[in-house]
Amino acid sequence: MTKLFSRTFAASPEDSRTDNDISEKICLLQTFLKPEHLDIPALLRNEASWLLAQKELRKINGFKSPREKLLCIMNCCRVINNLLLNATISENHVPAGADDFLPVLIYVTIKANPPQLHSNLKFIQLYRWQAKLVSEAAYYFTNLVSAMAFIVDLNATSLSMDEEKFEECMEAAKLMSQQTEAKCSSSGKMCDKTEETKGQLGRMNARLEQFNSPTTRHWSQYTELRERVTSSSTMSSVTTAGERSGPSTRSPTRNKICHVISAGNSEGGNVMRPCSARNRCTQLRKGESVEATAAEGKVRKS
Amino acid sequence: MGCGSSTPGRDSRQFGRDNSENGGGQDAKNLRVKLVLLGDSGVGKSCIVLRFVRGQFDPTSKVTVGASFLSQTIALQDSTTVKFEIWDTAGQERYAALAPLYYRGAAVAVVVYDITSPESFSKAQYWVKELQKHGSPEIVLALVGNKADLHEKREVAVQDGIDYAEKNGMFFIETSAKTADNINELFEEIAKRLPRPSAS
Repeated sequence: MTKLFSRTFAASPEDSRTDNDISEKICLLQTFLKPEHLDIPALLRNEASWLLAQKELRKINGFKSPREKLLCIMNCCRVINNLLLNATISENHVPAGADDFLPVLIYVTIKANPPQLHSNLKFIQLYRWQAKLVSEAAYYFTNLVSAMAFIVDLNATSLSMDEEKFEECMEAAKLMSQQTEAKCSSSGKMCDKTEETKGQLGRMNARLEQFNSPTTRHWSQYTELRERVTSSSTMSSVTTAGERSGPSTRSPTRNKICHVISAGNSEGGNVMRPCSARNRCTQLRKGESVEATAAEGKVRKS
Repeated sequence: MGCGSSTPGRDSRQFGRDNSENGGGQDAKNLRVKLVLLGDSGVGKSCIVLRFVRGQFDPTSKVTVGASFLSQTIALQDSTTVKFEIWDTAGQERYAALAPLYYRGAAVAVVVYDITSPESFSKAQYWVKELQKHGSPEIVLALVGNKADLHEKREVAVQDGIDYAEKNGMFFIETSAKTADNINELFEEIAKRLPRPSAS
């Protein structure tokens, strides 16, 4: 199973999309969700235990076998269970059942935001030996599955919270995450830069096309003329050789056009590659090509 | 739900295996059953289980296992043993949509209400309907009116419970987790009603 891990874990793009969606939603929730929104009694609000449970849950991605992943879930749930039991023993609280357990697990899951939660659960469900995914293990596994389902479907009505306030908080969280993305997310910045460069290249391509069309016309005129000359006169091999190797017989402008066009042709006509486009642009407008190089440099740097 | 729905083939297999075990499976003398507890929060689901498993109500006693999942084995007169694996569910309204994840593959569902709370009784009826719609067809259903010791505060008549249970082919009992009244009887009766291997 460990050897097959890379092919079996989060293998489909849908899974990674779901993972990202869940993780993003949890990120937003993290900014404002408080234990009281899930009606967790004050008695059970024990930061130390919660942190420990979060740590156990986050370990899930560090293991490759379904058994070990399941163990991480079990350990996390045991920490929560101990917390509940201690609370019932120390205070004269009614014995805690699932009514207390599930809200705490949901809260811990949100705080931990375990990476690739959906893929991890799916992986366990698919590949843990079914005879072993029973009884207590199955119970705690089901609890985490339902905690995730709760988070996925979470809206104002699922929390003890005003609907308007919930929307407000979600909006604020989204804004905040966008700002941080713009500010410090390097990958986001790189994406932006790439987009910018792409745009510039597109514009240059268009200009190159404009430049190319008269050139093509000139070229066809030139070929026509040449053919006419070739067919009308009896060509000596010397002249042909001279024509082939003889830039001296052509005007410098023509020569340049020739060069540009042959470069275009050898690259397969209209298919433009960013790099060659840049090279060709060097011949066109020096200023712009410098800009393009600078932009590319930036992309590489970031 | 991603995990549940994405693997229908496997789920149904698990489901089938659970049923075969509950119905006898390989070991006809030692049954293992998944029992799910449903009911509004505060009706005393976990107290019933604790009473059954630990034989005590006193919450100050040292309990070493989680209270949301417990298992207990009982021996019947015909020398078979039944191991109950008891799955507690969160009763709050906001988690109602998650219940199918828990009762999938369960052989027994115990629906609990509080005899002092008519709301919890209507909630119990909601659960019975849900189970009839989405539960396994062979599931054994039990309706339990808890907190029977608080008879001076009673708001749901015994007859209401009996009538409703009878109409829906359920087993009905009133219990008190506090005084331990009818707790063992509840689980013994469930064990008797479990589908048996064809031999017995």
